[in-house]
Formats: sequence, structure tokens, C-alpha cells
Amino acid sequence: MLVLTRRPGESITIGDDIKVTVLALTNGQVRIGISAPRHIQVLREEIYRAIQEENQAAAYSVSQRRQLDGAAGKLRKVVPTTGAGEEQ
Amino acid sequence: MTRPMQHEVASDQLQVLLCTGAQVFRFPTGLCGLPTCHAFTLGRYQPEDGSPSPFYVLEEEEGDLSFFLISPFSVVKEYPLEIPPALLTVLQAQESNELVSLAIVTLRDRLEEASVNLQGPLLINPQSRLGLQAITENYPLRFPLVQNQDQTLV
Repeated sequence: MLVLTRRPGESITIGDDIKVTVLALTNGQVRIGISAPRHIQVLREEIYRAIQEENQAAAYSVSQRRQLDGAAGKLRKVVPTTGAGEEQ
Repeated sequence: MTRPMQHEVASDQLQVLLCTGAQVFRFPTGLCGLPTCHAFTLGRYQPEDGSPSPFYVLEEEEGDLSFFLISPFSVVKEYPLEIPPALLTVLQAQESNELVSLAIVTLRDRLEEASVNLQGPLLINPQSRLGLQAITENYPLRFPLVQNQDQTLV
């Protein structure tokens, strides 16, 4: 990992179009400004990791499918069938 | 349960597309944590007894993984999403009303604990057959699938 020391107001550039600026240091917290092209998704790491872990928890293999079919059948009874387009 | 008007046309398009069976959708950016899966088949979940179901099944086209999905509108009345233009570009859509959102269901040991991921919804463009996983900080990661605890699960 590249380690750099920056003072408030100073920046780091990554490639041609990403700029990370240290805005302020207060009470052990760092305020950071990021300018990046709109197609670059900037997320707090914990949010990204949470989604990643939830996807892994939700994924199941085809061999587990049969077990899940039974569970979904039971859930069907308690979740209203108002999914997209089903009213017609 | 009401849905915003703009969702309905795209949603109906998806239903028409899926009524003949599961269809292949490309996910150019993969799913979060599974970035190498780029093609999935999406279909309605068909219980063996043929009764209607709110669920969809998303399966890796060349792989072993599957996900249960549900329309967010099956669990919440309103689910407005702000979709950045860059995501519309990936999905080859002009407007967000061309897209359908579907949420991943996480089933756990007990059915009462099953949850719906409203924080990382899948956005689907039925016309281009493209999809992606968006991340929003405005909604819960684990929204309970079963709301009414009085109902009998088994």
C-alpha cells in the first residue's frame, strides 16, 4: 500500500480524473472530499462489504435449490402476491 | 398495494418477457462480491403446485449460484430510487422509468428471519436485457420479508 502524508487542504490524484482532498481533521476524524467521474461508484467500505456479504449469504447452489423450494412455498403463503405486474 | 405509475410499463414489459420462460440478462458489472458473473437467467419462481408466487429466480448462466428475488413493492409501499446517469448508460436506458427494480431475498434457518436486501437492489432493463446491482444507503440491508408475525408460517 502506498502511504502518503497530507495536510488539510492538500490532495492526491489517482489517474487522470480522480482527486481525493483532505478537508479537515477534527477530534480524530478525517473529512475527505472525493471528485471522480460519475461512473465511478464511491462508497463507504462498510456499505460495500455489507452488500458483498449479504449477496454471499443469499446465494445458494442449485443442489440446495430443492430445500429452498419448500421454504419459498411456505413463504408464498405469508407474502402477498403483489409482485410486479401480477394484478392483471 | 400501490406502485408508482412510472414503474408499471417497464414492469409489464418484464412480465411479458418472462411469461414464455426464463430469459438471459447480462450484468456487465457483475454482482457485488461476485464480479465475474456476467450472465444470469431470470425467471418467475414456479412452485410445484402451479400457484402464483411473488418470487423470481436469478441463476448464473454458467455456474452454480442462484438467488431468490422479489419486487420491493411486495414488501414496501414506496421505494423511490435515484438512479445516477452513469448507471442508466450501463443499462442502455434513457430514463429510470424504463427499469424494473428487484430485491434479493436472503433465506435463513428460520423463515421468520428471511430478509429482503433493499440496500443493494438489482435494476433490470427488460428492453436491453441488461442488469446491474445498485447500492443505495437510504434503505435497509435486511428488511424483514415476513411482516405479519400473526400469520402461521407452516
